[in-house]
Amino acid sequence: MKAEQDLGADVRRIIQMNAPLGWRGRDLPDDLPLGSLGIGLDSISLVELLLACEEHFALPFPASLLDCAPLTVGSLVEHVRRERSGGV
Amino acid sequence: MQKFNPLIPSDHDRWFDTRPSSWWKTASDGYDRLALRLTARHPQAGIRALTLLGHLANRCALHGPSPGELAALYGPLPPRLLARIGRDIAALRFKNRAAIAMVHRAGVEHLARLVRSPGTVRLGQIHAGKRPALLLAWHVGAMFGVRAALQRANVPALTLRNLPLESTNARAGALKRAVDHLRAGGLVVAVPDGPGGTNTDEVECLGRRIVLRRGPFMLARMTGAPIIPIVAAWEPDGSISVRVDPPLDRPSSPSDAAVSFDHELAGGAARWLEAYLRAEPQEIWLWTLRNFLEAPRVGSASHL
Repeated sequence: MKAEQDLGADVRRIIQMNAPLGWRGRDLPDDLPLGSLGIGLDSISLVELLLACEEHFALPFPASLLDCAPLTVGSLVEHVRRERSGGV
Repeated sequence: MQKFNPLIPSDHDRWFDTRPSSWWKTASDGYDRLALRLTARHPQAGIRALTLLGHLANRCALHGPSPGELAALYGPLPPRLLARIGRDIAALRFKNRAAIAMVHRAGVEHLARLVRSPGTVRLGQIHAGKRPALLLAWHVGAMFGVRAALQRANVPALTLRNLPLESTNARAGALKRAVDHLRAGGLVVAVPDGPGGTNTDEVECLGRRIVLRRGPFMLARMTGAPIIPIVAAWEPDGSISVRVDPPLDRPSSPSDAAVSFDHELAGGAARWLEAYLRAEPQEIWLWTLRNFLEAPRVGSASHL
C-alpha cells in the first residue's frame, strides 16, 4: 500500500515539475486531465512529461497512451503500476 | 499577440482549393488531367511544357508575383532579374499543382521517377549510417519532392507532417512516436510550419519577424539528433534535384533551458532558410511570399 502511495506521489511530483506554475503545490486528483481540458499542458510539455517519467521510472511510456481518452493523472499512475507488474 | 508563421500554406490560396463545390476545382481538375497526360510517358518533357505554360501566364499578367512584391521581400534587384524570378515562381505553381496530381492520383512513385540521383546518394549515406537524424523540410521548391526523393532512395523515414495533428493529444502522440523513432536510430522528416502546435519565440527571416513550430526543435533537443536541412527543387530539364545540407549548429544552451535552446535552434533554421531563399529566390511559393509580406518587419513595434 505504501509503495502504491509512493508511486502516485512520484507521478504527481513529476507532473508538477512539468506543469504550468499555477499548478505547483496543488492537489492533482486522479481524474484531472493533463492536456487542454485540465492542467493545460501543450503537446511539447506532454511529451516532455512522458520522457521525464521514462527517465524516472525506467519504464516505457509509449505514444499509445495519448491515442484514446485524454491522458489523466490517474492513467499515468495506472500505467506505471501495470508496467511494474509485468502488464498483468 | 499575433504571431506569424508565413510558411503555412494559405487557406486562401485558390490554386490548391479542393472543395468539391468550388467551380475552381472543376477547372483545376481539368488542369490535373492535362498535367497527368503530359507527364505520363515523358514526365520531364511534360514538366518543361508546364513550365512554359506558367511562364506564359506570368507574361500575360495572369499569374505570379509582381515585381513590387518581389522587391518588397528580397530588396531592390535589377528589373530583368525580378521579371525572371516572377516567371519562375508562376511556373513553380504550375509544376507543383502537377506534382499534387501525380501523387494523389498515381502515387508518390510517379513523382519519384523525376528525382535525380546525386541528392538521393546523400540520403542513402545518412540512412546507412544507422544514426538518428531529423530532416528539416520546408514548404518551398518542389512540392512532395522530399517525399519522392526518399522513395527514390528507398530510405524509410517517419514524416511528422503526415500524422494526424488536429488535437493536442494527437500532436503529442506524433511527437512521442518521432522521439521513439529517433532514439531507435531512425530518420524523421519534419516541417517547422505545421497548421497547429506550439510556436517558438519570434525569429528573423528575410527582414521579417516570424514564428516556427517548436516540435522539430524539441525533437532535436530531446534526442540529440542532428537537424539536417533538406529541400527539393525543379530543374530546368524537368527533373527534381534534392539538396541535403550539413547539420545546423546546435546551441550551447544547457539542456534544461528548453525554450531558449529550441529558440536558438529555430533561429539557426530561419537563418538557413533566408540564405537559401536569397540564393534561390524563385523557390519560394507564391502564397508564402505574400504571407511573408504580411509578417511584421524586423525593428517594427510588436503587435500587442
